[in-house]
Amino acid sequence: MKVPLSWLAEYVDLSMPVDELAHRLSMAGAEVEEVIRSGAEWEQIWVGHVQKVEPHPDADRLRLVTVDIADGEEHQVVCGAPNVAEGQKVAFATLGAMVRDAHGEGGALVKLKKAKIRGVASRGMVCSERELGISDEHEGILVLDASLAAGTPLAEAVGETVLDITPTPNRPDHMSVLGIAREVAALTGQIVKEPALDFDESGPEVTRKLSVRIDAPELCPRFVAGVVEGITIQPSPEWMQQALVAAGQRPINNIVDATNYVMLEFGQPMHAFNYDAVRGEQLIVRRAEPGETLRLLDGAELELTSEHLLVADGEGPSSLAGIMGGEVSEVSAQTVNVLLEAANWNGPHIRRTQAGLKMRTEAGARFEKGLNPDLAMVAWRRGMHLLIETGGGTACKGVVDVYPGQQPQRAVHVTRSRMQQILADDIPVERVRSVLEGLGFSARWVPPEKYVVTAPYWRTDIAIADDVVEEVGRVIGYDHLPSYPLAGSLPEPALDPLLETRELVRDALAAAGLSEVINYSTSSREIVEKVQPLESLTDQEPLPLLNPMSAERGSMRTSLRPGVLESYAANYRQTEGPLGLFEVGKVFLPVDDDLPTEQTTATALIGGRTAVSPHPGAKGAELRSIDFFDAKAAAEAVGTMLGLVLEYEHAADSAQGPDPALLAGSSARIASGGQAVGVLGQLDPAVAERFDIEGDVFLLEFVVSALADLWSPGLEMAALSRFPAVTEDLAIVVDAAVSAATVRAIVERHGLVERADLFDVYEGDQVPDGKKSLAYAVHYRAPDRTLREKEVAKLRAGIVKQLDQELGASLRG
Amino acid sequence: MTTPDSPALDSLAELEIAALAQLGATSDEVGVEEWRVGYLGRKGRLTGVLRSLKDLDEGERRAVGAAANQTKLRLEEALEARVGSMRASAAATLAGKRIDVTLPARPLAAGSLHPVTITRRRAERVFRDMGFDVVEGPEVEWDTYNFDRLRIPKDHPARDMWDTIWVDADDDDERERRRLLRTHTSPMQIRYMEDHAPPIRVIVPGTCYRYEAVDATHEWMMTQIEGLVIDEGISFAHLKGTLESFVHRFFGQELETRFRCDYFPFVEPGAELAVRWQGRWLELLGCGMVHPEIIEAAGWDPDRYTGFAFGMGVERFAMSLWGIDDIRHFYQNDLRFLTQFRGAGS
Repeated sequence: MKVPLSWLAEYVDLSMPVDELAHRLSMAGAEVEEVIRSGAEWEQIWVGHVQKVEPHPDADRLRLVTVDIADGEEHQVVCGAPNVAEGQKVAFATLGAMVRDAHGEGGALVKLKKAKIRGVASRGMVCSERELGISDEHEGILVLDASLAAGTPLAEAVGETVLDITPTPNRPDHMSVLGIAREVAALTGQIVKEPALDFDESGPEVTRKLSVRIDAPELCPRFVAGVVEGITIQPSPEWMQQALVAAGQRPINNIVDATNYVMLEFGQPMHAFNYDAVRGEQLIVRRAEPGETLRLLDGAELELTSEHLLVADGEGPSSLAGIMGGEVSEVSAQTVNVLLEAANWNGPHIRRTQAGLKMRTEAGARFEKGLNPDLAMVAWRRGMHLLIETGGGTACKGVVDVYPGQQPQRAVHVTRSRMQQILADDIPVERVRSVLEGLGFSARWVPPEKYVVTAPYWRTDIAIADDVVEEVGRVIGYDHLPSYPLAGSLPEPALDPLLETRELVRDALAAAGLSEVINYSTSSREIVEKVQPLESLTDQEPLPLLNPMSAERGSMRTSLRPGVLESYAANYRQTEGPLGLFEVGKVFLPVDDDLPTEQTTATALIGGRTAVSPHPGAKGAELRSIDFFDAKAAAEAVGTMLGLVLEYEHAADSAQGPDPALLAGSSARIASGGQAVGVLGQLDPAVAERFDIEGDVFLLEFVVSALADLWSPGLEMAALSRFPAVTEDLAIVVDAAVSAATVRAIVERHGLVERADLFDVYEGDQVPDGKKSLAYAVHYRAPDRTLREKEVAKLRAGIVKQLDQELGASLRG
Repeated sequence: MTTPDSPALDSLAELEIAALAQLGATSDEVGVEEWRVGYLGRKGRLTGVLRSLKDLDEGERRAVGAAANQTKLRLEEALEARVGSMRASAAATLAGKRIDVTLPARPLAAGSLHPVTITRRRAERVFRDMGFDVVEGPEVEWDTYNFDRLRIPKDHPARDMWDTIWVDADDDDERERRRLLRTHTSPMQIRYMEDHAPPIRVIVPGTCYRYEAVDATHEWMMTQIEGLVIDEGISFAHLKGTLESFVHRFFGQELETRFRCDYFPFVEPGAELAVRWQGRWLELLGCGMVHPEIIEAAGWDPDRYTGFAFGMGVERFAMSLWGIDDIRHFYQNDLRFLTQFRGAGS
């Protein structure tokens, strides 16, 4: 809502600086988005008097214009505007002035320089509205009021300061100049100067000229109408045009301008009909019949349905209720008698209609917020006053007022203790009353405890006691209310293992050298097909969105893989060394007719080459590609962080089988305690290629909820043995297919084996074909004594025997 | 006293000379240890001399025994001196070693957390310190939780405050079952009140979505933190005190704050908090007293229980904290951006 200060000043005194005014309005809830000073940039732009207009010697469309700005010089400029004429007062920019570039995008401010146009020097410029930054109008120059004195700085003559206010949806009254004036008055202790509502009703009884019937009372709580006969259609007076222009409305004629003026002044949209085009001297508010059509004022032809509410006359549709008038009853230059309507419409219905038609008018934007029906009558009187003031004519006597939606005025009871309970301050009765009365409320104090409050007709947002409490709080100023720390009892502590686990996974992966990314939660069929998800997750279609941001964001993701792959692709060419990325986020597994299952997943990609070291002592740190076991370190980091022992089963051997996005031979299913938790392996180069990624890349994925099920923060300390460990190497030869983890499990099965660390894997000379040698450092320790050599030898023999029995293993000779 | 002629004594002297020469030739502590075992160990040569004493006559035994013990003492002294000098020279070598400390580090893999994660956790820690629990909620939500139960019924103009990405089409018969991407974390106010009794003190971080054109200050996906406090005796003063304290702790300094009246259908009175940060007023979050109808709908007596709620954008906090000029950086995942925040804690 654009509120020109000059208009606002008609109702309240504005002696405070405009920035302070804007600040106080914002603090109280009418947010001033911007203070627009239309004159601020108009240095060296003046009111000019056009003395001569001559043809350009070399161009048909250009004219030579001589302008006087009362500085004793003749300023001749080349001008292309069709509407320039001798005797006009215009906005004249002298050299060095800043004007808006009328041709470029965005209208940047440029400095006006001397120019030669088709051979004629041009020193200055006669400005259009666009060049002045007032509007987009650039067809012709801005013609000023003839009474302005040449040489006056333009800012002084027509400059305007406008408050651009963003009303909140609960305050339709803030979509009006008077509504803002009431706010200013309440904040500054003034009383608003109310606009004149009186007019002379010397015509015939209006009831003889017009009848109104409401067939849809649930959608039209009130309809007020009157008639003015013998009115003159003409341009509206200068003051009205200026006010409208400053508020962003284009003046049209006195009738249209008067209705727009009242809409901007009171926030009540109204509609003027050409009375003689209202057939049957009657208006009917009704739902449209299927098949009816209506041509609107903007020329659009509407196919109507019963969802549309009409103001119809005796023969058919005349206007689209609350949104736009129809062409059939449009006021034109030939109109003599005018019917003025001020009605009240059901807000949700107007909103639905506008949404359905994908149109939003100034009128509809106000009605949809729900106006008070009482406003209609006040605004109608104001409209009649302005019609007669600007166009003469005779008002018919009386008013047609159909008011099916009349409600008894509701008082709100507010106790002093409620006010104190909310605001934490016992505000004196006198202060409360003065605040409320300043806002136009009636506030009766009923001792010992209660206020009985009635809101004024322009307020529709006051329903309960706390609404009144807010009024008091905001006018006093929230910053003047007390501030306390929280006290009282704390809620039961809640620890969500999923959230804890999720954050630990993040920490582990970052500590393992990976960088966290966050991608949009959406995906598309096309992207999903580039990388098949874990079939353990879903084989369903991703949940589609009705109005996605774009086609490639058309559905909710069922896998983090595409996003992380895209992040990897975007970064890997810029990275010299290893590259590790991870995302921890939700995937959305569709459930028919229900909310999807939101599963927290962690997906990491690791690839690239180990970093180059520039140091002399670092020879041997050859470049090599990151391999499976580098990636496995990231998995182990997660296991360690959560205190879980992770088990890796070759994907080809696993019950689930290999992951379709990974190379079957180089991938593992990860479990812990027998529960599946994730997958690790080399990305199938075919998948990598679809994302334009070269080189070996390894994928690690955990279902975080599965990890969370296993994670237990409640550990118990194990006793430390005071006795030394005995460490021995044990090298055995087994079938090449036997996994290291199997051997280790057998070795560690013996109670006195603390742990067995693999330090060598060997295949080749000295080891038969199809076999491999595994060497372990085995640590033996007893909790209660120092192990003797004999005892260790016996243990070792037992282990070797066990390995032989279970795996056919032999000691390496 | 004259020294009796004794072959044992002669060989003892030879042994000592040889031992000292050999010790002098050792080059490291491993060599010294070998030497010690060779001469002074259980099976060492000097030990052998002492062992063979039993074969001598008493006079010679006494003389050789005394001399052998003397030799042992001298060898032990020499050993100690040798080890000492060896360590001193090693220490001197170490002390004299000079590396170029300005060479670049040999890279360890250095990971990083996303700035949104860091900022969210920073806010969570502050609220946890103030006794808040942390919960999360669904991102695909029912219309009724996202709007209706927050007092934003269908066709209410306030719905314009949240442009929505929908899952299901508009169907009047299926009003309750219409799914959408939550536009704010506020639905969790309702969900949390459904199964928790006052005192409630909880924050809800989470991702939200708006059907909104993307530019330097607007993203269609964003991270919010919702807060909800319900108890007896909660007033607007507690709202102010809690949020002022949050701002102070989050930014690590006392900042000038400003509460202005604002409108959200689910609070009354409603407010917006701005702080003065680096010379400008920064609008940080929306807040207000929980609307009594919402407390009542949750089954609590609104005359007895009052509360406040707030909602803040994590990206906006991160942007002000670190001077990030464009919100689009967050989800473009350029490592040059993401890895800049390693020093910002975790």
